[in-house]
Amino acid sequence: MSVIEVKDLSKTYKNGVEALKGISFNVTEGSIFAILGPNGAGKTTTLKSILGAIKPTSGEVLTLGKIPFPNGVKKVSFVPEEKSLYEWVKIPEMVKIFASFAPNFSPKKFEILSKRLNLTMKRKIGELSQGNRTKLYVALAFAQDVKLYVLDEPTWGLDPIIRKEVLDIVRENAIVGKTVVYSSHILSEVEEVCDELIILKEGKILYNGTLDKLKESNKLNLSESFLEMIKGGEK
Amino acid sequence: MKSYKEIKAIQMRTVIMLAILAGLAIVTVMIKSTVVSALGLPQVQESLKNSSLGKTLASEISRIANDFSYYSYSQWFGKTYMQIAALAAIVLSFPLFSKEREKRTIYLLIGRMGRWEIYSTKVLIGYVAVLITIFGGGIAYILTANIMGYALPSTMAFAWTFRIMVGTLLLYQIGAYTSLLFKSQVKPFLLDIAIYIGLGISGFFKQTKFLDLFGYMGGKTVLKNPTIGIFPTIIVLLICAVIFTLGYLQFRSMDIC
Repeated sequence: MSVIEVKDLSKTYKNGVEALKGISFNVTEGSIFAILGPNGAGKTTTLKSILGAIKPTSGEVLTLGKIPFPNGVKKVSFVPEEKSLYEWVKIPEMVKIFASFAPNFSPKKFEILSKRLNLTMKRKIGELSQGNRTKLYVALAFAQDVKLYVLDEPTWGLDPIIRKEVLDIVRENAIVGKTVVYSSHILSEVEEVCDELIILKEGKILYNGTLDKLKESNKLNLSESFLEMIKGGEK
Repeated sequence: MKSYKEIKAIQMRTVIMLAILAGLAIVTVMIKSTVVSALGLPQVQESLKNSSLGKTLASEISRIANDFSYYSYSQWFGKTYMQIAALAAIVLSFPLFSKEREKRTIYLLIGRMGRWEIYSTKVLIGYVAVLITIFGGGIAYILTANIMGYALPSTMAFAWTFRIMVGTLLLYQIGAYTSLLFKSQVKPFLLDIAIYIGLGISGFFKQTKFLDLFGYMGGKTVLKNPTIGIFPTIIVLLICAVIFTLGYLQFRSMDIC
């Protein structure tokens, strides 16, 4: 069953930038689905379309069977590229604020996740490093019991130990049937976790399929396949 | 409670504006006798005699000295109270959406709350903050006047307080709308000030007098006829409702990026 269905999705912003040019793909329930591409390929626009933050210029997006724009689909938890939180509060207050509007948020689950991610609770958000902000955002997002997690660069600024922990959390959620849509520039970590993927370039899909199939057809690892594909697209 | 975050975000600004308004209200009542005696100083009287507007000013000063209702109108309800209320409307409204978009914290809300929930929670909590702030300022003035034994008809004082509350709601609603239009916090702040100046200037011309919101808020007419002015109040509230609806439609259809 498809959790996300994207059909002929195009998005042109008001400034004339064509971010997406008729892309189509489906995301299977319980899978870890990666969206890869160089800067400006349309990854974040795709994630925001799935979330319902932006209106497609044409085409259709169905997230958990519903059109996400404008109201979103509440069984989705999103970690954006910029891990911006309310600077004026301390972490426990931030958790309280998040719990007040995030559906199915479990403070207990947050506590477990924050311990796993080695998060220092007493500090003000404004004083947190980039890595600690990422940890906090990831812990908040996964403390929500939802069907779909949409993650944009969820390991940004993390050390290798915590990065591994985040990848474990992603895997554990997929094992229990949750779907994770994942975008990252770190191809080695995507290769560790993802089942299916699309590779985007200049708003178009260069590859849509499973990771195994990609590696089999090229006899290369993901990084090499990705580079070959991106360079090939430039020819 | 989905409004928890909005309450936390606005509470400090509300407390500060309330404290400023209440403090100024108390000071305005307390300095009444000082103001009157200062206006009675020989130097002031002398300069009035030499001024072309001397007669008018002298009668104005005499009215301020002898009629507390007029003092209240000229120094508080028609002046400081209204000006600080307008400032409160800007302070409470300009960061509503623009700050969330500028700081990109809007992505915490998008997807977790529907657009109507986000919009209505933000704007309506601000309405409550406006009402508390403005009512607090009005009540502080009325209570201080009573304690100090000044004769201020309560119908008159409450009519002004009510009008300024309603007028400030509209100013706040305008501010909430302009906050939607920009990703930066500075632009809605400046646009609000420009709108206020425009509204103030409109009162000087016959053709645009109907736009004079400040004339409704701190109106001199209340001195003669101390009522809330049902017709203009309904018009102001209707405009508020229209801008509220337009704001929602704008927020509903906009890309959050």
